[in-house]
Amino acid sequence: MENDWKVIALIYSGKPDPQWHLTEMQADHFLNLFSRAADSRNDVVIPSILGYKGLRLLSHKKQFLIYNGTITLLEKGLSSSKKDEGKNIEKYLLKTAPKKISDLLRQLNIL
Amino acid sequence: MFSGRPNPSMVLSDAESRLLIKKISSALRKKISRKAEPFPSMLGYRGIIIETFGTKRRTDILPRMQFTPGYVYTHNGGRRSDDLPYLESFVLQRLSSFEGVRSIRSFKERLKKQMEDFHEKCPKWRKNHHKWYSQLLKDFYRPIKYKPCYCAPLPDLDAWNNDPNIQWGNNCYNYGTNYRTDTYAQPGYASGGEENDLSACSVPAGHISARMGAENDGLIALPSNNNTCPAMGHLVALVIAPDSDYHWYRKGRNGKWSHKMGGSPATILDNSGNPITDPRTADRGSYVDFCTFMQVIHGHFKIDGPY
Repeated sequence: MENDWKVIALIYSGKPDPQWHLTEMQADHFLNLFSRAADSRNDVVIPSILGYKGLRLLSHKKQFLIYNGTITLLEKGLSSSKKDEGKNIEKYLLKTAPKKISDLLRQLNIL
Repeated sequence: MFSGRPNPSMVLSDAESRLLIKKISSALRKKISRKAEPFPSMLGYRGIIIETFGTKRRTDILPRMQFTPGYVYTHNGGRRSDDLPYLESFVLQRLSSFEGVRSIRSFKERLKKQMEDFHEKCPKWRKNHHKWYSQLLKDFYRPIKYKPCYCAPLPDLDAWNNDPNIQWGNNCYNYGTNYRTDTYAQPGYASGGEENDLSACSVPAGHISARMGAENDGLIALPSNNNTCPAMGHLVALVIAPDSDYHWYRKGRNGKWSHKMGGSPATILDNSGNPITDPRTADRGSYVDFCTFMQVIHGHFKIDGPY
């Protein structure tokens, strides 16, 4: 469970959002990208809009919110944020989606 | 004496039953009084119930009798009876026979206190009942000339947005119905008739639309409603992003619309950041199909979800 990483694409309002799991290698790569990213003063604010609202990445103890060029780590009640230049980390995570979900993401112009 | 929990009870031996029946049988032979005082529907101790059960029941003893000050009530009305003080002392002498009582001593103290209060307040309750109950009842059922959305939820965005578990665990259907489940409720999930076709508001026979799922949960479709609050409960609006998702809006007590997009914070703004005066005309992004207004009557529906 400790190494189980789940990505949730925040798309829907009513239906449960599509979600998938990262492999250990994908999770390590994400953590590596995150650790190397520049600090950000602003935390991610998940927007109250209909449509795509970013990504949630969940592990046993950590939660990342990824949206619009910022990534926020929520852990033990504290938050720290990094810049996601060019939304490259968000794009990387979106590309890890399995085919069925990536087809949906393309259909919705998210990918 | 309880309102929600089962009342404390005891089973009498045959000998005790005979003793009790001898005492109360004279009251049961009396005629039903047309002028019987109303049954005291009060909270707390409100008399003693005697029920008979078993295969060899006496036919002259009614199956359920409720003794109150001055009257005993059965299925067919009230009769004069002054047996309650005797029954109370009978019960107080046998408290150890009560089922489910942990501490006899504290239970006895509590019961005696409640008995005293009841004997003191019951006459006053009955007097007031005579005085204004019929008028109150009339008022209760009178059509209400109320403000718009009198029964709708009060503005409570913080209650949905300030706790991450609540925010992420409740979606538009939870917020719309004002029913927090923390399970991401789905239309029809609680009733076993979950929606399975989001192609449009109306779906082919045999399929279940979001509207039908909500109706299965107990919501009421108001297709001819024109953005007005129903007499009971509150108004919600269902929209569809064809083949993708559904969404709900709710009209609050102040007459203003708000909504919650999945795990996002609830808001009073539409997709363009404008206030929502009518969900039919609000910017709804890809939720282009307006299905219907629906009525949510509090206590008449049940929702749940998969998480």
